Amino acid sequence: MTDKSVPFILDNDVFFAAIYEGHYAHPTARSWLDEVKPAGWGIAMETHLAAMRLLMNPAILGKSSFDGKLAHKAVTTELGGPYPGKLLFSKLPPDPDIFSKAVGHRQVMDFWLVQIARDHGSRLATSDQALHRHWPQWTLLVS
Amino acid sequence: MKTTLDLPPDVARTLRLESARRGGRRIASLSKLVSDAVREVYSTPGAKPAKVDWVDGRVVVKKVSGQPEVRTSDVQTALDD
Repeated sequence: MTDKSVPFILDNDVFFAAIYEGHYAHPTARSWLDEVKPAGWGIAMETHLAAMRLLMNPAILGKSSFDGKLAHKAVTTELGGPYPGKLLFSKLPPDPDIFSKAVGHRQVMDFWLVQIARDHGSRLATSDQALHRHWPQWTLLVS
Repeated sequence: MKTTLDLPPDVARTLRLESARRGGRRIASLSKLVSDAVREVYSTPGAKPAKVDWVDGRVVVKKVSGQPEVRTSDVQTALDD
């Protein structure tokens, strides 16, 4: 299953950094995303939900956190525009070839996003150097 | 919600004194005093969501003043909740 119109999908951190100015990596992530959008881009369904969770989390936005309606609007507005992002999801179960290499619980979602990127013929844009070292063929380091 | 709070002695003493000052536990129970204090400190009825630059296909949620810069580890921790 490949989708040549989506060369890159963003991981949770890079996508959130692109849309939240208070993320330390915002300038890098924002300019990178603006640059690659014309070539095609997307996020996994899980990243859509993760961004909503972060926008609604007082630990991230304090007393200015969003409600569900506003968080949904923010993510869907980013996905629109002249270079709309694709919302990707997997029809396949977790691949044992990928998940057998996970050694910690925090790797599970990252590896799942790697699998979604792989299954769509894309690469996962991430700032996670360890993840990139683990799966250089299916990730792109944004830093 | 019923719960158990482990309060330091000075806080427990303050609560007992405040309860007595207000007329005793029937009028000002410890639960009521704690609830009132939490509402006063942590609730902000007038709080507004962060400002947003709304451009179709390019959203920027403005940095919330007073909030620390978000790092990758903060994102991971928040999503682990």
